[in-house]
Formats: sequence, C-alpha cells, structure tokens
Amino acid sequence: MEQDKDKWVEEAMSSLEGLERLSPPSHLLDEIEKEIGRRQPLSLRQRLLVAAAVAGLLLLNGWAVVGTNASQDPLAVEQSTDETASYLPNYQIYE
Amino acid sequence: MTAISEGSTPAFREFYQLFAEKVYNTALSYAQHQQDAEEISQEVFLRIHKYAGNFKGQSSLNTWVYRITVNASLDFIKRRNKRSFGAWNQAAIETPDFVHPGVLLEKKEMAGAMYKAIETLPDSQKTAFILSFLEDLPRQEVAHIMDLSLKAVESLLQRAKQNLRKKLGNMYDQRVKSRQGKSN
Repeated sequence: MEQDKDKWVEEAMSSLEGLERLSPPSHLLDEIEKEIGRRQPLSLRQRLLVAAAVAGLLLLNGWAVVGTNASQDPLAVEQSTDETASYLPNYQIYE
Repeated sequence: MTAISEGSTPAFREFYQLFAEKVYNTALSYAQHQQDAEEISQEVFLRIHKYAGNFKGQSSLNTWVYRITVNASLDFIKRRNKRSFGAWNQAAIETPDFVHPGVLLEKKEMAGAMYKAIETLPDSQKTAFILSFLEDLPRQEVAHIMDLSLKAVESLLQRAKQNLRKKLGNMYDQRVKSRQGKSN
C-alpha cells in the first residue's frame, strides 16, 4: 500500500518532464500591437489640436451665454414693447 | 532594445518572435489556464515595450524578460484570487483541474495532480520550481531572475519538492478513500 503510494507520487513528480512546449496563439502579437497603439501617448500635434478644439468650444459657449444674457436685458424688452406699440394704432381700424 | 524604446515595430516583432514562447509557457505554468496565459503574455510584452528604454544590460535579456514574466504572472494570480474570493457563486471558485495540452495522454491524470500541487506552493518555491524544472533553466540563472543566491534557490527547490511530495501523498490517500467509498 505504502509502496504504491510512493510509486504514484514519484510518477506524478516526473509527469511534467519533457513537457511539449506550446506556441502562443497567432493572434497574440496583433492584440499586443493594437494595445500598444491604444496606450501610446498623444503626439504634440494631436495635443495642440485637442487644445484648439477645447478652446473653440469654450469660446462658442461664452458667446452663447453673452448672447442669451443680452436678449434678457430689460432695456431690450422695453425697446421691443415700444416697437409693438408703434404698430398698435394700425389695429384700431377693426374697431 | 533602443530601437524598441524608439517605437520601431520591426524591432519589437523580432523581439516577440525570440521570447514569445518562453513567456507564454512560463505564464501557462503559473496560470494553468490558456486564456489567462495569453492575458499575462500580453501584459509582459506591453511592459517590455514601455520599459525597453530602462534596460541597461546589467542582467542578460533573458533574465530581464523572465523577471518581468514572473512578476506579471504573480500579479495576475493575486488579482484572480481576489476576484474569486469576492465572487458570490461557487462555480467561479472551483476551477477544473488543468490539463496541459502538451502532456502525453497516459500521464494526464498525474500531471493534473502535479499542477494542482504546484498551485498550492508559496510564490518563491513555485517560481524556483517552475523556472528550474518546467522552463529547464540553469540554477544560476534562476538565482539571477529571483535576485537570490544559488544556495537560497537550492534550498527553495528542496522545500518545494518536499511540499509537493506531501501534497501528492495526500491526494493519493484521498483517491484511495474515494475509490473505497464507491466500491462499498
């Protein structure tokens, strides 16, 4: 019994000897190269383009905010009311 | 290595052809799972690409690549064990026995038991064993890779073998018990 056990253990210990070497799958290099491309830091030109795009968006945003505020100016509303008033006499022809 | 650090694709491909098999087989010995070995190999080559400029030739290229592979494999196993520990379903924890595709049919059962036993070794014993007996590297190179003395590696190997024999002995006892249980 004990002899069988020792024999089994020794056989198991040597079971990995002369193990056949495996080749990595053929798609592995492609995947690595893709990942390298994805992790590559942006070039100076790309960084400048991104900065310009962000600056452009901020400018547009600022311009839109200023424009909205101007249209909500009480003076502007008053002026528009006045303009409407100037047309009012024309409606009186239906009275 | 300078060419790789400067982004040369042909240089990287040549390097990959030289080391891919070593990296993949070492990773497979640690992970005992082909898809995980692919993931580890990918991580190893990404690290090599990133740190190629740091290689100063103080150690051989082989030693450097093996060192990165060992570290990436151990990191991966730690992360995998954490994931399994956090998993709610038992199926994620109980993984089937690994059957190396390169093992001869008549040795499959024993090789499976051997891999199971290797998995239970402490990291340093496991590394010394895998590099010495599965990767067939000279002890001195294993010592360089592990940044240890030759004596320390030999001692690790001795303890690894003792532990493996003990684990395999326990597995044999369990097999005998379960067979007796089935026949009764």
